[in-house]
Amino acid sequence: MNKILLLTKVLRKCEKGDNAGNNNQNGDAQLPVLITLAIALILGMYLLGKYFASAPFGFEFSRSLVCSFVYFLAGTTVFMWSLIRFVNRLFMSSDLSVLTTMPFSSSQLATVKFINTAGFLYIVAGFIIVPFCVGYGIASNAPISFYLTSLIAFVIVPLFSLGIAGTLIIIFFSIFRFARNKDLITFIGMGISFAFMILVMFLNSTSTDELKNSLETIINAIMKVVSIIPVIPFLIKFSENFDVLSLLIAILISSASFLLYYIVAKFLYLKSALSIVATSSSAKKLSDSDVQSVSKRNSAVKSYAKKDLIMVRRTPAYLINGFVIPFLWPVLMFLPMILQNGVSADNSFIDAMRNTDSPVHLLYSMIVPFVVAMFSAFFVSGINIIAFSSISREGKSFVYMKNLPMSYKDQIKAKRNASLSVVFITSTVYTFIILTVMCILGCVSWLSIIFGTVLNFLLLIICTDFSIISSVKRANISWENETEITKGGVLTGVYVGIALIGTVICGAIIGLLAFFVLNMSAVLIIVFCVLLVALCAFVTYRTEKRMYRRTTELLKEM
Amino acid sequence: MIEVKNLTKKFSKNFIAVNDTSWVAPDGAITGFIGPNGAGKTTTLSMITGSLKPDNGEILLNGIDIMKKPIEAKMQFGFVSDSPDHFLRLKGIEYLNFMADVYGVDTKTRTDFIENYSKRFGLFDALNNTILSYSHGMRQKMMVLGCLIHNPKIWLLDEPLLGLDPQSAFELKQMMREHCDKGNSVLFSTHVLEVAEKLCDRIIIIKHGVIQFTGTLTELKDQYPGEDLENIFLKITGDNNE
Repeated sequence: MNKILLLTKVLRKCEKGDNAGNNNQNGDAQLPVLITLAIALILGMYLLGKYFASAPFGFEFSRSLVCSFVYFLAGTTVFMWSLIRFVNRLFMSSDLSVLTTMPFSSSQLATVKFINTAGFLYIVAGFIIVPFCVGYGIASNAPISFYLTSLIAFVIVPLFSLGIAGTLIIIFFSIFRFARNKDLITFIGMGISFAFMILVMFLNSTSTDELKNSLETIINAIMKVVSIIPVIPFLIKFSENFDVLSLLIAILISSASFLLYYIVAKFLYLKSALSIVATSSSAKKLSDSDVQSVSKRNSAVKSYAKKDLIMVRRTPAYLINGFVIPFLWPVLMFLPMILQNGVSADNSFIDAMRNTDSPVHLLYSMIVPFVVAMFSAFFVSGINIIAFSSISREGKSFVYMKNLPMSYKDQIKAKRNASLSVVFITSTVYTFIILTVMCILGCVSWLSIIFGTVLNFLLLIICTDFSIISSVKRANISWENETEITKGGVLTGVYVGIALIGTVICGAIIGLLAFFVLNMSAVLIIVFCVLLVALCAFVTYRTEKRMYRRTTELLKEM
Repeated sequence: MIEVKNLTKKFSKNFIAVNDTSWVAPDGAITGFIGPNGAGKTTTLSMITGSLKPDNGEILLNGIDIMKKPIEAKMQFGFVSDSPDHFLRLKGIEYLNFMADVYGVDTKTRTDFIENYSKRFGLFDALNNTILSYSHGMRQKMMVLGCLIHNPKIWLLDEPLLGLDPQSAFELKQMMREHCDKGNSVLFSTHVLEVAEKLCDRIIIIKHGVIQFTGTLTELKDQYPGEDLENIFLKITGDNNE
């Protein structure tokens, strides 16, 4: 027991030490914020309690029902959150390589990890249960048993969730041997999270009106769902009847959950943890002929860009931020709308766009590609982490970058090409597809596809060039963890702001201009579009020159 | 050949890392660059490789000024830094091909080099694995291979034997000797005096940014008769010498 307490203390201190540089000073500053938040939550719960007490839908929500729901909310939140934290602490923690060599048993290590994980999650549960207990309790004139039950619920509901989550994680890592590869786990986890998100969206979209409107159905559903955490029904029984036996059963269930974790950890944890520590690549060995086939000469710039892309693809933090999000942004942005609302459109409006004789068709043939191109270019540039982290990504290898017999211009060109190749697919190709679909539907003319695609590509080059300049100016090569440099900073805000607000404003201005031109001739619209592209091309040319000059100056000084 | 003339680097008014040093690492010789921690070895190497700009002086690599013609000068040397933790997410074979492309090595030469030297260093079977999965010694050997793939005339090595197993250390020392015997030059920094004693034809001792000695080991020992290298080194670099 002493060993467990000692190690728990040490690990907690280490964690504090790790975050000392960033968070220690913030800790004191955060306290008033947390207190304010807690007061706001209590007040909110009080008002909500008063509201429900007034039977707003002609239906009185019983205290037991509300309690069940809140305990369930706390239990599931802790469960979901602890899944992630258990993966990190039990299997991904950097201290594992040291701890596994020390004289600790499997269950001792797992218990320490459990305690360290539980600390934060009890705070989370506290933020849900305590304001509810105080706010709702006062509003509904709750008896003492309510407060007592809430206090017990605060202790045993998170314990149950933690025990189950920890057990599941250990079993999962023991069964699936692919867990040896951390990168693969991250990738699979990402895939599962995405699938889960789609599932939630889908379930949300299929919820029927009956379910939405029928309070009784909701209540029944809550009671059924709540029993997933078996502790809650017994706690409610105790709260209603002061049934001590129910309370004992609830405590036993929670303790059993931890016991289950302890037993599973005793037999499985250390074995699985050691296999993670022993992570190694087991790629196919190359033969002499393989070496010959893969060793072909390429240009230095091309090879440098390829190296950058490989490193982005193989680093989970860059992979998620640099590849996955840019590739999935249309899905993430538009799928919820499509799933929840269905594709609905004003038919008369679509008909007007389709009617080639209508002035609206001509107008939209220019505005639609402009808006699509501009929004897509700026939004994707805002999340183009490959460009933002161009120099910082080198980290300790920056010294090699300086030693290579390549001019800084060529190195920057390679980095620009690497990031541009990704955003080209995730923005220009998407723009082309969207406009082509609209053209096939007859909404815009085929010239719009060319106009939109070219405009988008030029805007992308301009944005990427500015991102690269920013990456040199804000270079941070002394990071410890890759996630530290996967942020775009102010420029992200600027790009996304332009994407959201700028697109609307510019679209409206162009619409007005086009409307006046429209009254004269369609040829003038084409001339206008060509001039716009030419202007963009000129700005692109100037930006390129500026980028190479500025980055070379900055790199020489570094 | 490496020629350093009146090289100076100041980090602040009070701290001069390298103070007006001039020396030569000639062709056909292994030159050891020796000095205690903070003596200015790494600063000097950084200036020779073009990573750091000197405040004053000139550095010629095979007669090419690193300041005036940096790309040409950088083609003359291969540099192995003291830390091998670079390009960790690349596979060994990808790293070597990347370095070969950067230095413009043709397909035939690079293939022969990769096959021969990766087998000599015991890395051939690991070529298809990421460098991240390598041990410290394997990473060190991979960095050495990457820097030598373009067969540079000058080898610059910062603590190259650190972390190498005896077999690989032997191989590298032998490669250094072979390279010098072909009329090329090797400059390496080390703390291990035994290595310097056995391997170096010439040594340069630096302390507080000032060159204390340049010449052959015999010349050094002649100045301190009856003393072993360790004692001589301690006498030269010790504080009581000031």
